[in-house]
Amino acid sequence: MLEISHFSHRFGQTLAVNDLSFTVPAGRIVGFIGHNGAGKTTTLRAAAGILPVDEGQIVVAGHDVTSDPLAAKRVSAFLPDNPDLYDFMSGLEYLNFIADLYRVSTERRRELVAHYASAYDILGDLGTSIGAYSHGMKQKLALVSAFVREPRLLMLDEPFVGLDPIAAHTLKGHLRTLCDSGGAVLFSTHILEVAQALCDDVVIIKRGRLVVAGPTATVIGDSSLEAVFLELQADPGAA
Amino acid sequence: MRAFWTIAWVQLRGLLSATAGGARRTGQRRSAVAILAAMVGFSLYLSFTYSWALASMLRASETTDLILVMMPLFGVVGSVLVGAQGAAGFIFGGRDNDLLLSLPVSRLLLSLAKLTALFADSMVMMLGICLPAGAVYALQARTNPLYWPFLIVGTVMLSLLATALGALVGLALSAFRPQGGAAVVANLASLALLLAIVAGLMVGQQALLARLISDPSALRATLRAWAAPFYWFRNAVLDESWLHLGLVALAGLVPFTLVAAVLARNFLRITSALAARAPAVRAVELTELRARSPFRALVAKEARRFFGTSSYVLNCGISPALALVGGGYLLATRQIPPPLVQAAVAAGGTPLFLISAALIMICALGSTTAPSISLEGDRLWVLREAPLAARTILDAKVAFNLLVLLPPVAFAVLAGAVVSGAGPLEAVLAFAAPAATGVFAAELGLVSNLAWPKLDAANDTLAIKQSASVLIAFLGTMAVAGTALGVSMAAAPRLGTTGALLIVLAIVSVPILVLRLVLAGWGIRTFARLA
Repeated sequence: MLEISHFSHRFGQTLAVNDLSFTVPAGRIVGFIGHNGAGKTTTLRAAAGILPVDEGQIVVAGHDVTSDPLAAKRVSAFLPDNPDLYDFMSGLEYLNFIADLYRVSTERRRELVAHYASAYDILGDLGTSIGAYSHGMKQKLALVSAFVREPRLLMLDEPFVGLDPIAAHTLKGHLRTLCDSGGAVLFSTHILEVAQALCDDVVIIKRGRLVVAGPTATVIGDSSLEAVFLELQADPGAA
Repeated sequence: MRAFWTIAWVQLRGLLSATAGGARRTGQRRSAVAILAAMVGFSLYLSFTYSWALASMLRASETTDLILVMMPLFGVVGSVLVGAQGAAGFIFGGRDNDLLLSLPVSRLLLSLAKLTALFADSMVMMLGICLPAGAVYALQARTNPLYWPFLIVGTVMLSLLATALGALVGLALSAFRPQGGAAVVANLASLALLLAIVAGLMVGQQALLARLISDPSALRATLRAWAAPFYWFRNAVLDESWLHLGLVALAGLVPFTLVAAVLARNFLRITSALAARAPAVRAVELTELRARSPFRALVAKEARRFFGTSSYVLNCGISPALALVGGGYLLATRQIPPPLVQAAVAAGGTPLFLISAALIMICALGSTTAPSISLEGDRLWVLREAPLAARTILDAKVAFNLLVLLPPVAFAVLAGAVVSGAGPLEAVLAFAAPAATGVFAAELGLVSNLAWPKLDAANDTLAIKQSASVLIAFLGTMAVAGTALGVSMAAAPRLGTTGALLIVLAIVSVPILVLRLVLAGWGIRTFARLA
């Protein structure tokens, strides 16, 4: 579903991501792990078509993000770690706007909004201005807006930060449902317990380079993801 | 004291950084300074021209000295209007309020630092108005040695008064700012009120000048009684009166100190109350969800943004509003004002030609596109990750600008054509010329904002009011529209109205096409690189 091949990106003189390659197969939830500044957000933003791909190639569901960005964006959804939304709209107006951009039919958007807004318990708040939402409510609205697009690939940057435990549990269920229906999920996180419990695969990067990628069970073996991660980050030979 | 200057400097940088286009590089900082300098130069020129015209009228009744009452008065009124928007966004709605309140510094120091930044902004505007007025008076009458020092000190003191009043009005704006759909109604009502004030001043100015000529002493007495601080200013400057300079200082320092003290005492309470206002809750039905095309959705989003943001409506909605008022006036009176008819005869054109010329300048006053990318701010990711061509996003911004502007312009031209009895060809051209200017203003605004985006502005008002893109688009549009109009007016006696309007169209069409090409190439690439 997502193929990243030899991707590199620079911010001025700083090489943020260096020759990174990994894949996110259909039906898999992939955890994207690394320390602050490792290049996770840069990679996710490039895959979402928000940052240009300086070197290498990123392909979403067979569509090259650089040469065919609109086709790649139509089948994917990305949420940043702190999703700023249009404060001047109500929640419902925002969802309608997003559904318009992704050409979701009237009937389908009503079904999807009803389902996901109820699931995240914000249906009663959709008439309120987003400017009055708490951080968690904005996060929930952003998640609903992502699911309303019915993406085949969902890319999330720190999705569990700011969510209450019930919403976090609901999100885990929705991610699994998406993968069970043939989609794929790539999300970054610093909560290694969640990654270990939820992810089919993990990708660990360090200073913009791939350290290890593979099925979670294979990567951690008899240890824990936290132990493996700390060991890899401490190892000067890694990356 | 060191903490005060540190915080005040940070606040001032926050206000001024809007003009720097978010730039960090030295070259771009220099360009920001150059832009500011150009704007100051333009303001000085405008103020000098207006002061000169006013002084010429006052000279007829030997009341030229009143220029030193009226111009500072206009300056304070303008400064309060501008400062109120700054105060609402910068003092009471500042994103850094939580951070500042958590610092181990007194609230008096905080309020003084915020007010000082606002004062610096206000002082630049006041000096830009009062110095040219002073120069005009000095060119027409003898002045004493302390004329300039007193004028500068007095202007600074009146800036304190403007700051205090601006902060109070800004607090009122923040407190009564409605949310949701009511905000749209309130913003349109504010625009109507502003227009009523402008129209009242225009009509009132005629009456004032007529009264000045017929009974100058009565007007002088009125100003002395009802605009006392400004008359003290005149006395201080012209008579070298230390007493009156002291009174002007008190008129500035006392309200400034009082506002600072009240603000310091209640800053936490005010900001907490404003932040804790209950949101407007509306029960919604999912049947409200209806599909539109992405382009229509983008245009509707621009409309929601525009009509829901008071400073956006007040700063960028003035052109269509003026066109509506002008058209309405013509239809209501059912006649072309006699001075306009005389001016048309003198210019060698028809009244509709002059109406079109006025609409050209109105269309050049501003565009909704110039701050539109800056206003995306941290929400830019929403558009960037959507399956939309950059061209579609940019076109939607231009389309909304034209949707707001062109119907009122068409209405004003139609009213002018009906009242003046102009033919269809002249009416079409009279519409096409300002419409083309509107297209040029919208495109230049967008190009300017792509070149100088301010995605991290502390608040909307800064991006709308004083960002580099807005200033450059305004100056650029004025320059092209002014040139086109100047050439067409010079040609009107020989070519007639139709020929003159065709000249405007020809001159404006060239930059329109150039900007279209720029947007299609450089614009799309630049939008893709915005982060």
